[in-house]
Order: sequence, then C-alpha cells, then structure tokens
Amino acid sequence: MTVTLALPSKGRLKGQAIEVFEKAGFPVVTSDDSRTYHGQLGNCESVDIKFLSASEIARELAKGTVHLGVTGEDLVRENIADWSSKLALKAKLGFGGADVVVGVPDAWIDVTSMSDLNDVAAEFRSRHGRRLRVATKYWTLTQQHFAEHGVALYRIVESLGATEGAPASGAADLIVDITSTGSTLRANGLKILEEHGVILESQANLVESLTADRGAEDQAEIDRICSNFI
Amino acid sequence: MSMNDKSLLDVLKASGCEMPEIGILQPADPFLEIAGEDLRRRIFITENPAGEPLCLRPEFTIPVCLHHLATNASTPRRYAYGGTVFRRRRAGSPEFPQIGLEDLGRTDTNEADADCIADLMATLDTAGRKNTKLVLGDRSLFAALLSGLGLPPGWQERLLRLFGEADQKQAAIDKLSAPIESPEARGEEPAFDELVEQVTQRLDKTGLLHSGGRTAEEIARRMINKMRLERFRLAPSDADILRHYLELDVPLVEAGEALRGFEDRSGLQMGESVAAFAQLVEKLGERGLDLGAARFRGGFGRNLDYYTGVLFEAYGDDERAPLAGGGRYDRLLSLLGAPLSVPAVGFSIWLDRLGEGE
Repeated sequence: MTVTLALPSKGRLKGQAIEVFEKAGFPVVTSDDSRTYHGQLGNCESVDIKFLSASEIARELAKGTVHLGVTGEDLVRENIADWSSKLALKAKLGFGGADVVVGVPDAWIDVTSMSDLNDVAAEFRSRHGRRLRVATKYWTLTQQHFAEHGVALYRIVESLGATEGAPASGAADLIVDITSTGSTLRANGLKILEEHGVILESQANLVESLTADRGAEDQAEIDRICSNFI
Repeated sequence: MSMNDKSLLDVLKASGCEMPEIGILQPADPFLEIAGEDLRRRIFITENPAGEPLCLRPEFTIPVCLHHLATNASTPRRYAYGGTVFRRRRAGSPEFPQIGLEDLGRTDTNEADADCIADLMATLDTAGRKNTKLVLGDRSLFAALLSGLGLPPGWQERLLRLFGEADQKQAAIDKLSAPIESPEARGEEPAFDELVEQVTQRLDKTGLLHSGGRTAEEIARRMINKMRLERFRLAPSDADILRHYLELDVPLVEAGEALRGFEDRSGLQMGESVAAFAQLVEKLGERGLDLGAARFRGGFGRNLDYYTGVLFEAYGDDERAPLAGGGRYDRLLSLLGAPLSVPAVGFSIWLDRLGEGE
C-alpha cells in the first residue's frame, strides 16, 4: 500500500510545510508544473503527497482518506467532532502560529476576565432586550470556552470574514477570532481579555489519522516520518 | 405515546388542564434566548426557506407559554401536554416521550406549588412508581439568605446565578472571603462623570458610540460597582453560614424546623420565605402525600435564571436520572414577552425512565 500525506496547497503555509519536511530529511518532489496538486516524498518507499486546503486536510484526516497531514490545531479542534478518537497531533511544526482569542471593545474598561463577561451577559438582556452577541466562525471553541467559565447567556452570530469589524457595525458586541499579532484587533478598537482571553494557542501540526486503512508496513513508515519531527 | 402514557395524561386532564396542540417543529430562537447558546449543542436545528432557524421541540414549557401568550388566554389556567421531545442526553436516545403540566397565573403561589407537586406524585403513583423519592430546594430561600447576610446586590446576583452549580458557587464563596488582591480594588474610586467622559471618548474613537451595544453610562456604572464588589469581603463566620446552608440536607417534614434552627444559630433573618416554605410542606401533608422519603436540600437548584422559587425532582433508585423535575418559574413569561409578570409553576415526567428499576 501507499501512505498519503496531505500538505497545504497555498501561500506561505505551503512553502513553510515543504521547508520543514526538507529540514527533517524528506524533500518534497513535485513535477515541474508548480500548479500541480500531487507530489512524492523523497527518502521514502512510497509516500504520495496531496496538496489540499488546510481545512480540507483536517476533514480528510478525520475521514481516513489520508494518513498524515499538516494542518492547524484550531481547525482540528473546531471542525472535527470527537477529534481525539480520529486524529493524533504528532508534532508542533513551529509555523502558522495564531491564537484564538476573546476580543471585547477596548472601551469596556470594566471587563478584563471571563467572570466580568458573565456579569455583563447576565445584566445585558434586561437593559437591551436581547442577549449579548458574539461574532465568530469558531462555534465549537466558543461554546466550550464560555461553558467552561460558566457564561451561558449569550448568542453566537456567525461571521465568515472581517469578524473584527462586527462590534463597530453593530452586528455583535464582542468577537472570538484568530489573531497572530493582535494588531488587527487593536486597529478595530478591541482588546483581548487579560484573564482566560486566549482560548487556544494554535500552530501548524503534523497530524496522523487514526481512522485510515493501513498495514503494518505503512504504520512503520508513518512512525518513521513522525519520529523525525519530535 | 403508548396507551399507558395516555392514561397518565388523563390523570392530568382530570385535574383541570387543557391540552393545546404543540407542533414538533418550533422556532429555535426562544429556546436559545432563554436557555443560552449552550443549548445549541443539545438540540436539533434546521431552517425554513427564509433561513430562520427551527428546531425539533426540545421541551414543552416554552412552547406552552408561547401558546398561552399568542392566544391571549385569561389566567389562572392549567395546561397539560404529552409527546416526544428531542434533546441529546448524557445517555439514552435523544428522542424520548414526556408529559407534564404548567399552571399559569395563580396568585396564591403556595397553593399552586402544592397542587403541582401533588399532581406530579399522583401521576407517578398511577404509573406504578409508588416509592419515588422527592427532593426539594428553593431559590427564593437562597435569595433571602443572601439578602439576610447583607451582601452587596452585585454579589447577591452573582451567587444567585450560580445556584445549582456546586463547584463555581464554592469558588465564588472562597473569593468572597479571600483577601483583596487586584490592584484596581485598592485604588481610589473614580468619579462617575469622569469615567463616563473617558469611556465616551474611547467608544467614539473606535466607532462604537452608536453601535447599539453597551453605553458609556452602563460601562462606567459597572466599573464602579465592580470596584466596590472587589473590595467587599465576607466575614469568615458569614462564609461558614453560607456553606452550612448549602450543605443542609434534611427530611422534608423537618425542613421548617431546620430552617428556623438555622436562622437562630446563624443569627440572621430570612424573612417570610422560611414560613412560606414550612407552609408549603404542611400543604403537601394536607394533600395526603407520603413524605417519608422526601428531602429538603439547601443547595438544590438549577442555574436557569427564570426559576424563582421552589424546585423539585423525583427519583427512583438513581439520583443521576430523575423521573421528573419541575419548579416555579415566575420570570419566564416576562422573558418571553408578557407585558406583566405571570406566576407559573410546572413539572415534566421522563416517561422513558418510568419503566426502569421497578
């Protein structure tokens, strides 16, 4: 059989993924056409490479259609139900770093923690006739984090882009979003909660599928590749 | 529903209930608005063609109350219901039958509570569950205790909100009695007007002044309240009183005496709520209920903000899987848009659990 490795198909993530594999001793071999979505991993018996979008990679790993992949921890935790039974995070790869954070208006000088947010959420409805609204594309991470800190009285407004603008446009009161430097948040008049404001410190991970079909030889090859990253 | 379940529903109808038609498909928003976003993971959501969220009914109380408001029905009025509800649970099928009762608008709340609990026990009796164990708690008693202790209103609200969540309540009590740590709690209290000015400028600078969210006054007021709350420390003896109350676990028939004893020992006044609770227990006795196994627990509660008074559950052998639960929820109809507050109490029975353990 053949082991399949999925790498990000676009942009800096693609370049950085190829680079870490080369550093680990596995050069990525593609045909001359840089637009191709297939390749081979060097120094291996038979490892095929598929180039996919990072969120597709998480899904394909969970389904078991690829054996190994490079994807963000945020995508795994957000999009894959019961992820730890389907996937194993084998190694942090040191790039693609970004935090999933709770961002509130900078003008909320009284709010620095999740317990402040709980107080605000509880009294919000009686003042405004609606629940406090959180704009995010991270439904699962938001629900888990808020439940963990006892915050129940809020509503999620789905946001598929430019989430940081939601408070100013009146679409939401606060946000949960991914940020690498925090500068977009600050530019939009938002701040990260000091206490429990970081939900997840995410970065690109080497991820193994626990559901993919694989023989003993395949498993040995997978383990050999992973061991070069630890 | 089986023939057996229908005969249980007959018990409720005989106690003066009408049975409104409640659709399986319900608008999802009222459930999410009332119970919070956390419910979303446990219910089954779909959409109508206009993209508005609908869900399979996860329970009956909210739809029955919405029906009551939509039909402008007069009060007092009693409703019964029965049918399948759809909700993911720790164990078991997410699709299960429930029956229940909602009693709306009776101003003699003690009488209504007693009738409601008596109807629950009669229904369980008809189902052949004669030795169920009833456990009662009361949110208004806990509220009276917090008020009797002289806690600042903000802290009373915080603790009341945690009623029913043992771990977090414990943490809140610990925080209340711990020494002051945060630097802002030690600083001087700013003038309200200056704060409003400062917050207004920040809101303006970031384009949030007219966004329809929290206002500068709201933020400034809470900032000052927060500083006062952070400064407040519970005397160790008062923290002990709170802990003792939450640990109260006595036979229901002795609850009145136990509560009066608790008041005497702790030297505080919980107002009329103690007498009212004792009276409720008496009324239950007058209705011929066997209260031999029934308990009162100080810390027994539910962390939903529409419950206001007595709360109860009935168990077979397994306390993790109640056969029935209910309580007084005087805030719910206002939250659903009723112009005036409507006193309300009700229960529902998990029919799929009735067959177990007998």
